[in-house]
Amino acid sequence: MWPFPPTRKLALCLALVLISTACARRINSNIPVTPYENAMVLNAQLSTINQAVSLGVQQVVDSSILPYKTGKPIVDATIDIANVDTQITAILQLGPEFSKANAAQLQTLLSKITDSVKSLATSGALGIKNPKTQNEIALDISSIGNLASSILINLRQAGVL
Amino acid sequence: MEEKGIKWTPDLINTLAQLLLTLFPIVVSAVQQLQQAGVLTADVQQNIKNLAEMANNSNQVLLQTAKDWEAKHSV
Repeated sequence: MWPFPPTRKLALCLALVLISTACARRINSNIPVTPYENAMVLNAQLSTINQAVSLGVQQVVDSSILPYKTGKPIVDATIDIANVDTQITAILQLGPEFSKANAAQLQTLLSKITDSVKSLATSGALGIKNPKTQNEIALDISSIGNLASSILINLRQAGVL
Repeated sequence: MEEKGIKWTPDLINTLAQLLLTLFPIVVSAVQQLQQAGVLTADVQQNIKNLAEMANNSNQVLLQTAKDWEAKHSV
């Protein structure tokens, strides 16, 4: 039986370590980091964490620690998020003006990521029936959703949205 | 609390140790990438280009590894 409670705490600790190591700073310059650059940093972090979650689940399944049927919905969700994030990156990399012209699409795509994270936690796909536990798991994997929300906030500060 | 009901059997401890060993290299690699993402130069345009490339690389690697993983398990 997969030991959910200790794994949940471990996942939360790992997520906190990942996020806490990633504050943006500029080297050899006094120019402050712009909100648009912050949004780009958060987007890069989102894709990195999503990749780590996907690879982690794959290897945990391959090590027979987690059943395939439990791991597959998580990997599927990371695939969806990667596809959506590829579209977000395609817009963001063309700069603030292009992003501003595609603000509605950006908002829709970022909402898709937060919705994917929420639905994964509450759908029962993780094999958790208890609503309280669902909420706790949602917190663990919500770092991806939180990053998507932070990208929105930074894009608003940059005047893009 | 559910945690109070856990029996710390040798099997459970072994599973958790395996879990740590499996995830540790992935976490270390992710932390290095996250630190790299947060280091910006004075050239804003170059930063945007580099960060987009980083995101695209992560997404492409994820999609490829997930595709290979699904193929392996569908056999």
